[in-house]
Amino acid sequence: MILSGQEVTPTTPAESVSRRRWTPSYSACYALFTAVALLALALVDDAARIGRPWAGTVFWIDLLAIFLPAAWRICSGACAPEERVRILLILGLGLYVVKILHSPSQFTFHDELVTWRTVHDLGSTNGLFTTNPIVKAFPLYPGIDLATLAVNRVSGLHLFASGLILIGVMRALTILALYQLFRLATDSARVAGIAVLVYIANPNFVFFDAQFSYESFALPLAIVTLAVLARALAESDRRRRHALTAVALITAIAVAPSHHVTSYALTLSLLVWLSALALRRRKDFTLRCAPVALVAAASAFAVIAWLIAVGRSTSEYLSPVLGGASSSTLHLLLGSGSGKAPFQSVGGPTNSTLERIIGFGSVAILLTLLAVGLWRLRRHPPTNALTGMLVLAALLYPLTLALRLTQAGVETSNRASEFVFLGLGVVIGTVLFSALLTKRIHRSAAPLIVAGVLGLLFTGGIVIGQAPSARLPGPSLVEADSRSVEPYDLAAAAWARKHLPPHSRLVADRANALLMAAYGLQNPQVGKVVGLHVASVITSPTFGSSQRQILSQDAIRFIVVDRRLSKSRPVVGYYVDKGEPRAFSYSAPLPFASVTKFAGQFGLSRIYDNGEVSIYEFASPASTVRGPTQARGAK
Amino acid sequence: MSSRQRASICVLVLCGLAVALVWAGWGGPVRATVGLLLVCLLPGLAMLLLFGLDLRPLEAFLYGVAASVAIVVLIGIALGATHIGFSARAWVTALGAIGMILAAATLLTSERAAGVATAKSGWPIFAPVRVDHLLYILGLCIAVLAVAIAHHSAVRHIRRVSLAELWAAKLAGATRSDVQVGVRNTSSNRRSFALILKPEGHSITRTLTLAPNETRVQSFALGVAVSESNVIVELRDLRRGGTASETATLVAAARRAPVPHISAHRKRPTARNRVRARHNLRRAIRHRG
Repeated sequence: MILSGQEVTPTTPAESVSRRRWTPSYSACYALFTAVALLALALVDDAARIGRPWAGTVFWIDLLAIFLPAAWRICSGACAPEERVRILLILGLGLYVVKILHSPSQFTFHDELVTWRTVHDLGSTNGLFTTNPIVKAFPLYPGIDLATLAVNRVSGLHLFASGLILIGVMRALTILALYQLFRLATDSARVAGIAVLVYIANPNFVFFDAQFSYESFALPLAIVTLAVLARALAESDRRRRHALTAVALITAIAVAPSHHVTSYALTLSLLVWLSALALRRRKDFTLRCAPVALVAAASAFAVIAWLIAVGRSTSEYLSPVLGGASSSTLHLLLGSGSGKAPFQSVGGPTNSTLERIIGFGSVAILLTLLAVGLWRLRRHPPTNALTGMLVLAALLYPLTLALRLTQAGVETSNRASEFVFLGLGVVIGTVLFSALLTKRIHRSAAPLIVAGVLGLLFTGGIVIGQAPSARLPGPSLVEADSRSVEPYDLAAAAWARKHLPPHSRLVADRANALLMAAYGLQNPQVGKVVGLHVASVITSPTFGSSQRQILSQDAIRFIVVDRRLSKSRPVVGYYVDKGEPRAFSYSAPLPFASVTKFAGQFGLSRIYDNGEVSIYEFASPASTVRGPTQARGAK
Repeated sequence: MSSRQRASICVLVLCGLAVALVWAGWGGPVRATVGLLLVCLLPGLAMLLLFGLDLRPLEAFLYGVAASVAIVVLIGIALGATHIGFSARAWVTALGAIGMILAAATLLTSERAAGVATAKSGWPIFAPVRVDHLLYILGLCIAVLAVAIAHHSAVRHIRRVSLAELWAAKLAGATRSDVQVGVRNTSSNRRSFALILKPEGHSITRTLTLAPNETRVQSFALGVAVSESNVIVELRDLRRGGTASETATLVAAARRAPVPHISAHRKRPTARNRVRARHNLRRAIRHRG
């Protein structure tokens, strides 16, 4: 059968034990090689920080130097099963270190800063369901926050180190669970190895899924649940089966309070799996169905219970995102909406021509291999229900591509890839394994060709999933997430934490708002007040009655002004809020008057300045505040 | 003694050690290591041992860590829901208790339980190869070195920026004659500044020299009351040679006098009250200058 690959048996242990003691194995040499490549990447990051132009090219070479040797060895027939697992683990952890090297001293990505604030609030209030001014949904799913606090409090490590270690552990779980899952789905360790490599090529694996965020925590737990359940079904001993089902039960229940979409996807997957088992109508159906049914029921119950506990906030957060994505895509397909050009960037660096070709090429290869794999399934249907469930997930891939054609759908498409690639791994891994066995390609050349294809998919995934400005550290950019975390902004946030009342309401541009919330422990405000955009306080060239009304009505006390906003257009497409009037359509940077309009205004006092970032205190005419904020603890 | 019993004793000892270290308030690498094990491995491993799952090392690691992390999440929800809180002692007591109870139960039941046959799980085990171990350790050291270099580079990039901060500690005191401003040198070099206070047409200059990361709150006793309307403070970076340079001009401007607050009163506003209110207003304005 096509999904049951043929194994190549390694050399017999008897004759190789003494040789292995003194001859380094490939995996050990690969570990050393990967470490040296990471050392080189650290130097590349250092060069990128000071703006060396060659850093981008060397970055790609370094990444491929980490990926390709692993891919070649796993595709080759000489790789023993134990070696395969070690190589995958080293590759997965090595790619995690790539992300650490990007931001080694603090968290700088958007979701990381939001999570940081939630962890801090949880630790200081000692209660669940705190409020997060940036993303309301984060505190409602406190799995990663609780685990990080546990590591921090019990081990005594710094919160940053605790978060890094926790996500590193989850990354190791992901690799092992994926291998287990794919091996049980395809009944072939070699296909499983290739399938894991395909999954690693998903656009979010290197950066997004490695960040300190609730999805990066919940997804490994969900994959482990599926893997343990698959293991339980393969177990003949009843006691062991019950024990493994209990493990799957606990991990499935823990996913519900950890991430909303992951818990829904897990429950849905388990229900589809159960349905596939039912459709097969095997004699041992009850035996096989019971663990899956039990875990599916527990997962569904946990999801519903948690939704009841957190209220409507989850739907209020998800509905605009998912609804906007689907409606804008639908309008585009019907011809009534506008689309988004791929690889479009408002400001900041853009993908080179070669990168765009690789990006498009990787998508074309994925679609082609998916089509080939599905065609083969007509003649050789999946051997088990788990495989059938994963193949169904793979079918969603073309739909997620359609979402990328609209601005509202890009984020949803990106997030969906880590679920969809579970299915793509199985289908494409099987196709690539067949290519290794085909007699049309020379036996020694086949692993090289397949490794090359995987390398292309891997590179294309990063091109698609990570903006050029975010792959490497570098000189400051305006509203560019990690590239906007600069000393001036950090200093202002640290000052705000020390001198301003905690949880004060303020308005700031996107980058400073994140830092003020995460490190400054303030509450930045966005959205609309009495029909007026709060963002206009920053973006408007004048400070008039509308802006005063916004500040008064929304009880905003401080304004954070970054003079650099007038130097460049925002990389993410907006300065303050996604809903601001000219979001994603700025043809020029903000006028200089927008950042200097506050000086000398009645009711505004500049209480902090560091050369680039200023903080103004607004005294509403109706307030009884008579003096500027008193400094606390100034030495 | 079976391997299962030995493993249970190890879990018991490590859990107890973690609890003891946290309750005693001791820190250090031992607590960090044992604490990490307690959070990430021991409760799940104890559960696997109780179930009698005889697994290969990687499989035991996978299921043990996943179960432990899941237990931590559920324990955390319980701690939050019951308002016990997330202190170190609460965590270590809860997790340690779970680990020790499960390990103790394993010890008690393992004598009676029949031996569990090793199932063919298809998971490989590591062969003891000495050279490989050396290479793995060397690789780990180089990876740690890479992270250390990246960290040093990131911190150096932050310190490379010569940043100075100026803020208003107190722009107007009770007598309106004293002003306080805070200054911080957030750079890696010793720097000299000219701090210039400009109250209502006057100019007072102070020269400050700040060490790296030094903060100073500078007070200006003006001797005469000033209004809040025109207190401007500038901070200028003095280059070497004593030449004032405006490469970093920082200005803090006070707001103008706020509109005096007139308290509401419950009586109906008679003519006499209106006159009194007007008199109060004039006095308030005069007092604020």
